[in-house]
Amino acid sequence: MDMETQSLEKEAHQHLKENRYQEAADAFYRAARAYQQKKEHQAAAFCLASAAASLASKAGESAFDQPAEYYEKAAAEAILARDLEYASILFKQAAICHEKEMDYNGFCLCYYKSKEYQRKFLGQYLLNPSKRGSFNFTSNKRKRIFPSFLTWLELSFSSLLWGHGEKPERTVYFGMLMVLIFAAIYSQGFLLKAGVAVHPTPMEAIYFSTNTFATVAYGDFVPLGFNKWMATVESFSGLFILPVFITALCRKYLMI
Amino acid sequence: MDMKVEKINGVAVVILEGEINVNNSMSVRAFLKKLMDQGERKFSVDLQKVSFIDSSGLAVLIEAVQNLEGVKGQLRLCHVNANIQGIFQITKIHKLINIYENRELALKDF
Repeated sequence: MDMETQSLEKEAHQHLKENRYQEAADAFYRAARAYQQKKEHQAAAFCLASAAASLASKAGESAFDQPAEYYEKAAAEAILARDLEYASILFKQAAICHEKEMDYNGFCLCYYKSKEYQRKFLGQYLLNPSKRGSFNFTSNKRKRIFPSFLTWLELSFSSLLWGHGEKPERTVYFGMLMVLIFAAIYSQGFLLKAGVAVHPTPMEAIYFSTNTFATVAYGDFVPLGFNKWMATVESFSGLFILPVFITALCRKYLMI
Repeated sequence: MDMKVEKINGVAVVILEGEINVNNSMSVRAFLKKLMDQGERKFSVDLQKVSFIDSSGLAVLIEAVQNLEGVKGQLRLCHVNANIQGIFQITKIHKLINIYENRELALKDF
């Protein structure tokens, strides 16, 4: 099998040199299958990525759906080999191929996975910087940890808030969670109701929180004391989160 | 497949020659592991005379980088010829790995 794999890969590269992309992709694919059988997932990922790249080179004259499929398979092998950074790059390549094919569902899924695996890779790296599982960081590790942490934080927030732009329903859940958290805070303080300072009931607190989040001021409840500052923070958050939801929704529906 | 090592300024410069393929990639792996066991932590792998590297060879290089990272070591590639550069580009690992134009630049950056 080793001789077969060796000759298959050499044959594939020879085909590539002669611009016979389909033959190259077929040979890479067969080599990948041989590596898969030996459970050499990292090598299988390289072969599948090469097959995908060969098909993408050919795709000027046909379609990008097959390269996208191969990139996804390569990413799956990279995940099995626990190389999450490589998986992220391969999913990104798959997303690019899906976009060229105007398959926006495929694009959305692969783009989302690319971001998620980048986030997971960074999380893995931050938990154990000496075993980051890939090979991009070379000099002065300390200098790398802080930017990596910021990127991880940004990606985690983006994932939670709107699924990297691909999951608008998450913005709704995020907004609901914020409304409930602020409602819990308001119920601990005072609101002015019909000229009287009261501890709001849970339903009143949710009502006030929802109105504040949506920046609607009916005037039937007025925050007092600490709640004033909380209401300011909530309305300010609402101002930003509502457009995020609209953007994610438009992005999703314009692509379908 | 020929493998040599030179020690320059505390860096083990590994010079590979010939083809790295599924039949000899385990020898490269054993060679690098032996150097690591001897306490080497900084590696510069010179690929100038490597005519071909297959996926198992790439996997061995990556495994070495990962193992070295685990012991606070580093591995860099240098003198990557056009053939090998093409293989790196098609597999997209050029986006991940640090490749230096020549040995001096690789050594300078340690």
